[in-house]
Amino acid sequence: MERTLEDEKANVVNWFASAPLGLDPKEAPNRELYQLAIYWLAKVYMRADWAKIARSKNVYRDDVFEHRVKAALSQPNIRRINDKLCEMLGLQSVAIPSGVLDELEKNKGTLLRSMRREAIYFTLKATELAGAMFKDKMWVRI
Amino acid sequence: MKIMYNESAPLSTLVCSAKGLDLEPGKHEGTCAICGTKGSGMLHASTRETFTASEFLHDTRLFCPCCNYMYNENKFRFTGWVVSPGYYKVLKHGEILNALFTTPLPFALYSTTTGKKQGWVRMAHSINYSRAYLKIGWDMVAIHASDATLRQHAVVAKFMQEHEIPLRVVLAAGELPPNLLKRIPPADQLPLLKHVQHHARDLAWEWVLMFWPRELNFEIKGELPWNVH
Repeated sequence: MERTLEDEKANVVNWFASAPLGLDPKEAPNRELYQLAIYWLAKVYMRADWAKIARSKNVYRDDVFEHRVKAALSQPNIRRINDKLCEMLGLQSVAIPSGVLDELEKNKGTLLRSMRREAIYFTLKATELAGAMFKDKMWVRI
Repeated sequence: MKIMYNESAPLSTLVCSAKGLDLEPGKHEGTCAICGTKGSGMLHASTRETFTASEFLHDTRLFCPCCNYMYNENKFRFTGWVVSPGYYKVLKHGEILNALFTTPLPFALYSTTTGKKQGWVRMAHSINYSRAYLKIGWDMVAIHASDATLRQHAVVAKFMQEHEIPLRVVLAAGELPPNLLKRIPPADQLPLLKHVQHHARDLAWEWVLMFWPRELNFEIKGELPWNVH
C-alpha cells in the first residue's frame, strides 16, 4: 500500500500530540504556526546529505543544522530563507507540500521574531521530528 | 580598646567586634580612607605597591584601627566569609549559598573566585538589614538583588542540576546547546531556554550559577517561574 501525503500529515499531528511544546498562555494561539515551521525544517533536515556534511559523529549534526538555520534567518522572507538554507546544506531545492510556505509567509512577523530568538529550540524539535519520521517511515517522497 | 558594634557602624567594626578583638588606636585625627568614619585615633595608611583598588578609597591617608586590621590580614581576601553580630565564619566555595539563605539578619557576605582581590573594600557600608534588598560582594563586583529573585534563580539552577546540565556551560555560553536541551522534559524546554537567554549576563543569575554546590546542602522550595500549556 502506498503512503500518501495525508498519511504523513496525520502521523505528524500524532507526533506533536505526544510531545507537547511548552508554550506560555500568551503564545498558545501560535501553536499550529510553530508546528508548521518545525515540520518545514524537518523536511529540509531529512533531505540533506548528512554523511557528506558532518562525517565524524551524529552529535554534531544538530549543531551544524542549528548554525545554518540561524544564518539563513537573516533573510527577509520565508522563501528566501528556504533557498538560503538549501544552498548552505548543498541542496538545489527541497520539495515541501504546497501551501506550507504560503501559510508561514502570512504570519511571517510573529514567526520570525520567535525563531530568531529561539532558533535552538525550533531546530531541536525539527531534528526530533525528522528522526521520528525516518524511524516510523511516515515520510513521503513528493 | 574593645571594639563595640552598633547599627551605624561600618563593616570593619562589625567584623572586629564579632571576632572579639582588642585594637590599639592611633595618634592621628581625620577620616578613614575605606569606611569614611571621622574622628580621632586614626592610623597612618601604609598601602602596598600591589594594591589596585585605590579608586574605591576616600582621598585621605588614614585608616581607622578596624580597617587597618582588615587591610593587613590577608585571610579576608583569600576566601569568602559571612559575618553577623557575634558570629564570623570562613566559607568554602560550596557553602556560600547556604550561608546566604540561612544566616539571620543583619549580616554581610563576601564571596570570591580569584582569592586575590581586596573586594571587601567596596563593601564598607553593605551590611544587610532587609531581605528585600540584599548587597553581596563578589571580588570587585557588588551584586544588588532581592531574596525572592535569588531564590527563584536557585530553583531553576536546582532543576537544571537534577537533569545533569553542567551549570558552567550555561554560565559561559549564555544559552543552552541542543545536546543539553535534550535532557530536559519536552514541556519545559522552551521556557527554560527563554529564562536562560533572558538572564544571561545578569550578575545575580551568574553569581548563583557560579557558587552552586555540587551536592545540595540547603533546602530550597518553590515552583518553576513559568506556566506551561
